[in-house]
Amino acid sequence: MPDADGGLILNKAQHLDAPTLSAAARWYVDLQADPKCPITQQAHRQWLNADPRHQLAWARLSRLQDKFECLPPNLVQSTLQGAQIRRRDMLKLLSLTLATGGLGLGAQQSMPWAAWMAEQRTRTGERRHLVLADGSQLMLNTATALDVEYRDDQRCIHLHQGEILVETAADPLGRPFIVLTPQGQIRALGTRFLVRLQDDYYSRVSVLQHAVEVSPKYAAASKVRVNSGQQLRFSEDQWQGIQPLDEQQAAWTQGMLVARNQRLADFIAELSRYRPGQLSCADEVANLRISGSFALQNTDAVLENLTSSLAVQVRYFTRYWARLEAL
Amino acid sequence: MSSSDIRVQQQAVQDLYQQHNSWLKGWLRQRLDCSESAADLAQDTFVRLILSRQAALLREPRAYLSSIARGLLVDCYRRRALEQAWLASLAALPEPVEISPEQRALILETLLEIDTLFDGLGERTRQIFSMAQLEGLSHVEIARQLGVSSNTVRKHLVRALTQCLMLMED
Repeated sequence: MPDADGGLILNKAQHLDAPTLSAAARWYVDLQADPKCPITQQAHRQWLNADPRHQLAWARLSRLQDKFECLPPNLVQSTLQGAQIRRRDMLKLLSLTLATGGLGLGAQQSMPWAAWMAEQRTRTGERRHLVLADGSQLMLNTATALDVEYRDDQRCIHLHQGEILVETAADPLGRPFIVLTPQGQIRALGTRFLVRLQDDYYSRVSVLQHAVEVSPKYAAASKVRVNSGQQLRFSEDQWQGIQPLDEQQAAWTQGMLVARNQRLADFIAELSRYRPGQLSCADEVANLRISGSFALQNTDAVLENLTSSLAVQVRYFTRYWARLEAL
Repeated sequence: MSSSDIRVQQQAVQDLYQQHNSWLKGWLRQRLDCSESAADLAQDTFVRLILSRQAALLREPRAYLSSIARGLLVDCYRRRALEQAWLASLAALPEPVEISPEQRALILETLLEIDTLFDGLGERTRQIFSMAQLEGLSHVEIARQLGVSSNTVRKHLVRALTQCLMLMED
């Protein structure tokens, strides 16, 4: 219906239906096939004037045409075709990843998309050793997720969750080795260090050999060097003081959890990282102290062990929900 | 929607966000390379949820959230695939071409749109449509190259154009 300005207004109920759009497409194709045919032109004008919706459909077609015309013709075809093939590969890879819950390293090296798709993961309680393309090695602690991205200019590990032990190998190409965490980057200046993500807010790096250089994400200019035997915790905008390395930290790489006069609550919090489900500790026993080395392979046995050395008992609500309480 | 309905919806979204946001981010992170885009996509997922006004009715929130997120992921893959293919096409040109960042952004946006419009078209239809619209070949020429009748070419073109028009918005 014409409005005051003689333009067209359609309410929503009069949306363009498939037959109208299809008719517009037919006119377009016929005019394209024979642009100069006066009969087609005349009939097309009549069709346009017969209904305001025809004009709207035609306007939509012009817009589609405009889209095509602003594109560089020599690049469009190959880009669209390339994109289609790539997407198909990606979706295939996605369904594979969904089915297997991750890709092995061998697969990662042969698949071009692996640089950003193939996440390395460990489940709760699992530990895994990875050898990277250049001979560098990673050990993934429990519940860890990361991506490996080796580029021409750098070797990069994106750590999303959990904890890793890194042992870098010398790179024939001289590329730097970098661990990126949500809080910033750690550049390896030597060979052996641990990186752990803590409580969503902090990264902690502990250097076992040589040194690393840390730059928090939003304070990239303030680099700090952490040497062998030191550890540093940092958030995305600042780093906290350098401290001497707590050597039990690396025990997990040997499948052990080591406590030296540790508060029971802290020990249980550590242990719970390796155990699916809920594990907690009642307030009345939280401040008991514990020392010892425990094998992480069987957390039930560790709990059992606690009950024999401390005045505590384990209460199981379900198989996955356990709590330490006073005897 | 009455104001009490709106409150119920808001509360439901809030609860869902608290209970499932980190799970959703983790779910997305497993399928993406960087945690930032996972966080972005998780936000987008909740925005879609709010717009759908289904929050209060969900029985299987995680299934619902992941189905929204899966759609967003596919969009994300589409964009990446296109960007990669674009770079590959550029690199394959015999002469280097100067394209400004603005032009590039515009071209990629448009290609993305066209790529989306092409979804669900058969291989043959897509091919004929590209030959006519992108390479500017006449129907007769297309028919000759593919060894089909002009009428077949016409039918494919009409089908492709109709689909594009139906997916476009005014």
